[in-house]
Amino acid sequence: MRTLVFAWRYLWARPMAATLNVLLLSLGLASIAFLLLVSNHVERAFDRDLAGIDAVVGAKGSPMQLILSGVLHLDVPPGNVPLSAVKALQKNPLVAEVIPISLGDNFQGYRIVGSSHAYVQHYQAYLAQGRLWDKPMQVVVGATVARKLGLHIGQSFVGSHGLGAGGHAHGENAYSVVGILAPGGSVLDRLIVTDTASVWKVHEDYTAVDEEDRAAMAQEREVTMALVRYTSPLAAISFPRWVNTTTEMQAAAPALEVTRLLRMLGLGTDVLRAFAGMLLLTAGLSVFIALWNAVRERRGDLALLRMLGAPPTKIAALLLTEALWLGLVSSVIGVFLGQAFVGLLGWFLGLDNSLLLGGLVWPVELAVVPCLALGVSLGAALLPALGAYRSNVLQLLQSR
Amino acid sequence: MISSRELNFSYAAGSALQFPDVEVDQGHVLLLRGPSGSGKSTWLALVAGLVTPTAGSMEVAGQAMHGVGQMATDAWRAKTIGFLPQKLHLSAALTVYQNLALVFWAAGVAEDGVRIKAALNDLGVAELANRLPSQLSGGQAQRVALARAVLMQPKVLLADEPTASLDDNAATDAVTLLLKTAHANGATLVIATHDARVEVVINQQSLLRATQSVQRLNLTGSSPEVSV
Repeated sequence: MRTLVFAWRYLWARPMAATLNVLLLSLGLASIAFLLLVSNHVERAFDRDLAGIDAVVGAKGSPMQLILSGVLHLDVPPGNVPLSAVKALQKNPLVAEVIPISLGDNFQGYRIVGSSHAYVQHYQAYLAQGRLWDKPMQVVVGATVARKLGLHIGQSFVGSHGLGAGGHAHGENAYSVVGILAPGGSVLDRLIVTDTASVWKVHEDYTAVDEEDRAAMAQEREVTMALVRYTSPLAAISFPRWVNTTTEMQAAAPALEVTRLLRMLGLGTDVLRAFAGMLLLTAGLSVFIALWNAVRERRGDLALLRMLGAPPTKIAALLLTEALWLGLVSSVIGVFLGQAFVGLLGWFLGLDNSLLLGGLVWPVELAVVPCLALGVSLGAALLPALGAYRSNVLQLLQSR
Repeated sequence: MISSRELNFSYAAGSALQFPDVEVDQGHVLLLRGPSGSGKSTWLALVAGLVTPTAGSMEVAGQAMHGVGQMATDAWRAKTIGFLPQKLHLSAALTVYQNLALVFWAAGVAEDGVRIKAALNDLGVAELANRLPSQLSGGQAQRVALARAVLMQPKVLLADEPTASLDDNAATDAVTLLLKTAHANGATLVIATHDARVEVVINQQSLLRATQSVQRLNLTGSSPEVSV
């Protein structure tokens, strides 16, 4: 116990050096913590949003674009597919469930997604207020959307064309809010969900020149894509091949595409990790120099401790405890700094509750930070501790 | 209390020292005299069990000074030997109180706050307990270092050049205080010095001479001699 107190006092007896070392070490650790937290956020978001979706079927193009646009709602979709083709999917014995997704409009930057009740149920979302829609032009609003836009039950709004704010306003067709979802941490939080028919109605009203035109359009209705759940895991082999070869559509497997995406992100994080590693190495060197100097400065004091009867191991332990304090203080600061960086990034990118950064998390991997901190500081303290261990009292006596 | 016979010590470099035999009783004073390089430090290190003699025998407070493991010697030294170094080596990071607490820590025994306060009180520096060494005058620092040396009530008190860099008055005070403190603790006092003033002060302390007889061990480095 006393060793902890003495080591703490010795450490802060050189406040400038100690502060500098804590700062250096904390920065390195904060970078590591930041990387760990961001990748945890991303993986959790993917896990959450992709859970239970075995395939996404949509227009031919990039499969990753299909996943990004239809499941994670981060990209624009590659195109539309005929409703009849999606309905045909349901007849396939490998398919347990098909959830249609229709994109096209937004309200103040938040996507209006046309789908079925199954979409809301898929994410096990709860209604905080109101109910689900029972006819077109009624919407259920995600928690983030409701909070950010101040939407409440009974309120009406007009969607804009396109997936980003600033498109043509569909003034003649107003949506009315009938339900608000409780925050669930999934992609639904930042969506406005309505019946697929709403999307058809808005666009047919917008583009049809007469009733005949409207009837023709009704015959050729489209959706953007369909989320598919299989009856058996074996379908993963045959279903995509069947879709890709026999239909005008493509089937993308979210698990595969996300792995590919994470691998691409991995290149970026590797660079950051190397940078964080350099910072840690610098911090380790700085701790080493500081402790080495401390041993040199205090050579007499340490020798005196030997004279007072302290065994060499105890004196080495005192030095190591100093390093331990450095590591401990730095890892606490590092972790909180890392959390702050993530928060700052979330705030900066305006990604509140979005795919990437959703609230404070404490993943188990974060334990790497204190382990690294202790590893670096104790590693840096080994040689100085050995120096302290070898404190020569005879030299102390002779150094007049 | 301290007795040595045909004591020899060889440095790794090859140079060897031969020490005269000595026999000092408990509570008495040994004045270890000699110029720099005459082997005073080595003799102190031998008494403290920090080095072992290459030949001859030495016994301090009933303990033979060779053939004992380092751990046992460290523990023995913590209880038996008090040390007042020439450069005081009070830890700058610690308060006066903590500098004394360090003694208990080094010895691996439970801290005794009452004893720390008593030791500071005996040396008239109780009110400095919470100060840092940098806030002490030279005299105060030496009293604190002396309190530290006698804290464990050692049987042997080693003082290494206690008057170096002190003016005459301070030197007189320092030696007087050492004699008094050693006497109060019943410790055998060894003063290693090449300062002639120490001899003078000891001779002036006639009051003490009755209970503290003084022996002199003169080291020359080559041809040692003892005078009583």
